[in-house]
Amino acid sequence: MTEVYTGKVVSKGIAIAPARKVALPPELVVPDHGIEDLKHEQVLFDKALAGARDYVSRWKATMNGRLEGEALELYDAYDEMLQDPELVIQTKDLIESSSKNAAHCFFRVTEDYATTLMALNDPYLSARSEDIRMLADLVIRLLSGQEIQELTWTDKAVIVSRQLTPQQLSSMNSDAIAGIVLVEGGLTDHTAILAQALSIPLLIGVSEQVLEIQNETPTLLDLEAGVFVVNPNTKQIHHAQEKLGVLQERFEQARLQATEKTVTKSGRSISVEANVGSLLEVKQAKANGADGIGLFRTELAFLQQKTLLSEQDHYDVYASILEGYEAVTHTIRLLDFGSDKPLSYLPVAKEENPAMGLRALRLGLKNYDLLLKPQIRALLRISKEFSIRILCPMIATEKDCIEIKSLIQYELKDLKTKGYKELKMPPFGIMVEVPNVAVNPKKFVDLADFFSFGTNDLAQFLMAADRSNVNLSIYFEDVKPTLIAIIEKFNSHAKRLGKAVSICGELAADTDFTEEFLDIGISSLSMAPSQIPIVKRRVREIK
Amino acid sequence: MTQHTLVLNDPIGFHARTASLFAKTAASFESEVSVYFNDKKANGKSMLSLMTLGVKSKQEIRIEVSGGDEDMALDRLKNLVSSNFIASA
Repeated sequence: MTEVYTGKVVSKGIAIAPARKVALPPELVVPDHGIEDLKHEQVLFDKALAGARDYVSRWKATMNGRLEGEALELYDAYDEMLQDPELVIQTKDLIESSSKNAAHCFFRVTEDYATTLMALNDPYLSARSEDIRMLADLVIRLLSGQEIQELTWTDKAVIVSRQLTPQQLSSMNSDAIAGIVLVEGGLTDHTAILAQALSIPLLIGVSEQVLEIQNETPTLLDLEAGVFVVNPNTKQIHHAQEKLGVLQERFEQARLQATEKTVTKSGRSISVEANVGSLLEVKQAKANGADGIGLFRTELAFLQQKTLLSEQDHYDVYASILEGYEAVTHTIRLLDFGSDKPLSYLPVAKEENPAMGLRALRLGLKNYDLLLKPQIRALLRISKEFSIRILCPMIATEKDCIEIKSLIQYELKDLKTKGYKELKMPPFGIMVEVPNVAVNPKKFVDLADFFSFGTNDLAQFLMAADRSNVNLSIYFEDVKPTLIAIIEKFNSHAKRLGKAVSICGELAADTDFTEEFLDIGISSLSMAPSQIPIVKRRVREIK
Repeated sequence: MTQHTLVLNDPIGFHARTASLFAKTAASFESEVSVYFNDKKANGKSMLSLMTLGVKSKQEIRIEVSGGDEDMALDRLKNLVSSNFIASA
């Protein structure tokens, strides 16, 4: 029977594919009971270890081609841990000495290792203790027949779920995600941003009832029309296929023109740049004619990492991502961790209100040597090779701004004494996303070389409305005139000192405002790569 | 039984990659291999056990090998550590 669901469209597009449900796995239960046949229990344990190794090798095969080098080597480390002689022997000994079941014994042995590694207070080894716990979870589930959730498949499917975290989304092969339908989720949270970047249609705020869908049920997700159709009839499918063809053709046309110069009919120009967080998105940005990277979200490029990054790791990532993209200027933002992008290797306390918590620079400054120092030094070094600007997130006060700037200047001075004599300070900019900065242009325009409006966070702080709460989406329509007024005022102050203002939130891609941004004199707009051709086309239509 | 004391030069110390290379090399011999650091002892054939020593860069470890092929084993392990884990495992 055909059913139709509606919701809020976050990322447009059309998908015709079977449904696949994704849920958080139920919490692990470690069974604890006595056993009589010790030998048999040890055989079961060996079997579970072999089963877990099969899982690991499948994960590795799925990620092959999407991950490289060290990230891929992690799977080899998992495989080795599952064969570690101490882990195996100690568990078997414990089965014999305690006459308890294998799951219980393996849990005790692995917890021992995990705790010991954690206690060494070394971020690298703490991350390994997370790995051991993850593997223990897998082995214990295999031993006790508890559900194991894998988010890996190779054919295309529409994900149906209550929620989807950015980690879940980045752990899946994006080619296999035809579309996403969620009961919860916000318009501008990071899952939304990733979906837009990858051009995956995303519908949120859909009725709970959708979760009753069976896996593999045929569906049609038509987010040009804003509907999710379960069990569509052939006429509906045929119609959607036709629409999809037209869309693809229209986008292709816009894309072909995207690399041409973007000026209005009267010759005014604005730089249309890309928000990126991975190599894949940089490729998309180039293909879609981006005038540079306007916002490099460095934290996304590192979400899949299991360990802290050294200065050289940072350098290598930036070098590989920017390679072949030397002709234009790129804006790289310092790490914005915390909040809804937690790090596996840097445990942070759970906060009541993470968006306004210890995140971004606040977290970075508190863990300066671990997080920001290697990144800043790598960026300064790479500024010799590429034209880059450094952008600082979550500035709230003049003190925040002065503190981070002086740290960058200190690292520059230090690098100069260590053989990097010819380095110069790259342009230093701040995000305008905290209201205290946005409404005080006079105080801040002297303190930085350029300014970038993060309209998503600014909007949620202005309206005191959580951007991940689907019931509050209406506020993000009403906030637009306020944002425009604030941007206009800030820009007029910045312009007097000859400083550039750019916009990198959702608002940048809203073609209803492109003309207004040109009139105000905004220097650049930065958006998901998939939106660039459309905005460029809009610019060409304006006088 | 034969033994040798040397400094670990790897910039991070005994972490997954170095511990894994050491354990694999040790496991290719029949002899028992133990690594001592401060007052702790680890099974040289176990990556996890080696990591729990918490050896950081420039710290000194003692390798103890006993068994039929102990001389050859110690030689290979010494080479591995002193070549900064470049010598093939």
